[in-house]
Amino acid sequence: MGALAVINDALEQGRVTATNSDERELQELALAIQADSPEPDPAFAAELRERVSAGFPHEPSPVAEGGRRAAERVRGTLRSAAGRLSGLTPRLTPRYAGGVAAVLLAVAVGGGVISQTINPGTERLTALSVSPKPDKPVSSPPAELLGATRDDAAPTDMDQKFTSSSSGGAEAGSFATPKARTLEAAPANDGAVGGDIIVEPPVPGGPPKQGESLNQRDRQVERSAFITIGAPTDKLADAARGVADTARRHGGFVLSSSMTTGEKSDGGGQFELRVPVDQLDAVLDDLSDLGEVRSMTQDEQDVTSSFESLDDQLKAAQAERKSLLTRLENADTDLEAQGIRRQLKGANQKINGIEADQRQLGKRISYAAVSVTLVKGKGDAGGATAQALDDALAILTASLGILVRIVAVLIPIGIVGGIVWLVVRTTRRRRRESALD
Amino acid sequence: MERPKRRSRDMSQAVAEAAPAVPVAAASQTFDTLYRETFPRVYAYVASLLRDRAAAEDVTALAFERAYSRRRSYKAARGTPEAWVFGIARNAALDELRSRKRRATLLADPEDVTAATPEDLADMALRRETVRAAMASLEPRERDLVALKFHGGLSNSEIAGVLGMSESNAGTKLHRTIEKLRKACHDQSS
Repeated sequence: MGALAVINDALEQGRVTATNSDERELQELALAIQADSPEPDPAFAAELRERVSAGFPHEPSPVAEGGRRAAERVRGTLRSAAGRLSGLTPRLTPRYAGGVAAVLLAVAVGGGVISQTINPGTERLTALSVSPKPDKPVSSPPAELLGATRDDAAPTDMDQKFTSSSSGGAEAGSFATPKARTLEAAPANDGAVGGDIIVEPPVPGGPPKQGESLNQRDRQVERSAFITIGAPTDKLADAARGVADTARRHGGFVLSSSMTTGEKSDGGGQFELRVPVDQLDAVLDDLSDLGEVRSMTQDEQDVTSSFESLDDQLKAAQAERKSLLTRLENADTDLEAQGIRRQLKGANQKINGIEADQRQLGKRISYAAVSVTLVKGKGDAGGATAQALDDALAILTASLGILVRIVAVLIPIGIVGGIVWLVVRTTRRRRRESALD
Repeated sequence: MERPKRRSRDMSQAVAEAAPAVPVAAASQTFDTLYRETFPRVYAYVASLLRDRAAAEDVTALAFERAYSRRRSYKAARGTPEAWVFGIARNAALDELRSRKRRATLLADPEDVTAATPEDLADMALRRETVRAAMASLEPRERDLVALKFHGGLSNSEIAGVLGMSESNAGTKLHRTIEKLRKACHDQSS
């Protein structure tokens, strides 16, 4: 029988049971230690018994006060660190402080993520300052954003560009296609208020005529738009016809189109339109009436510098041709005249090429490019029920997205919190155990 | 005071099973049973560790008050209710030791409640002094182990739970400590 078993036997029996002298000695020792157990004072035992029966009431008693004093002394060390922070409760131990810090971090990070999730495009739209009222002149973005000023007559090195976008049918109306946008500042007496730059409609007059100074003309802006329209399957064909009709009605044309219909196919179409730039807003309005606007984007790009570059090239080529003509008149020999004619031919070809580029650029300014995408929209196959299901699915998807982000934030915080808790727990245990060293 | 023998296993199991979800009144009754089963042994253990009667009373009262306030957080899977109470008492005692930074001696000897002849009393007193001297020669951690075993009446597995070690490790340490104690007793006798 092992020593511990012998001891346990004696403790259970309350007497020496072994016959072996060594084992008897062990049992006697165990019984002697057990018999020497300190026993509580009867008065203390009775008092504590009463408190236990009463469920440890909070009335101060000598025993409880003593216990509390002991507890306070124990907590003193831990509290001394946390207690330096004024306004915190007396029970603020490092573990609680770590928990509070973790919760605050979770709230801060989670709040940031949720904010980004809910309003992902707010900052962009605010910066662009798109006017919701189509009948009023549109205030341009801040001059610093565009790199242009009110009296910015000189061309910039870079083409200036700004983009505005909106999504969903509800916002499509408010987007409302302003009458026109150009980066040229309006005269000071035409209604500009508070430093806002009032933009005027572009003049689709094509490239500047020969000899005309670009600096005296409106700045040249190339415009384009992208619109996605949802329509029920059974009305996709009508919508496609409506797209082409709209382009023609406003003096434009369909550059290319692609249409897919059928019961089993997804259905939809893609159209590339060219419409007079002054009709762009009206065209977008009419296209919006063909179905549910899923998204709409307009781009405007200032190509004034490109025009100026072509203008300079044209002037230089014309000057060269003039010089060659003068030399031809003064040519003394046929051989010299023949060489000059060859150079004249090259100069004419160069001038023709530049003018062709100017015409091409002029067309891009005169006609806006409109990309129309037709997709299956709401109201398809099942009416209100399907739409409600679509809405429910969208809400569920959005909610799931938020939930995933919250979990993504909480998991690392939980891991860090767990590690902190483990470290604090281990540290506390070691500090306690150090009392026995 | 009459010292209860080793507690009833059935009662412990009942406490363990009932504690997590019983109503308040029933929980109080269960705690009351646990208190009656463990109070003298918890006091004896704490007094052995602190070697100060007054501090032992304070710490014992504090330990039971803590156990009462945390009784709903007890989980049977983590050990018996008695080991749980002894764990709380040990933490409170260690906190007290650490805060006081002193080792007080017992202010009074344990009472002799048995009637004995003068010869017996002399023999018992001699043996008691020998054992106390041997105990005093132990390291604090060894005294902690002996107190849990002989004054607390805990099994090896319960001691292992209280000290946060494996049962075999607890048994090995206990065996070594007892051998050391026996040797110390021999040294005291000779």
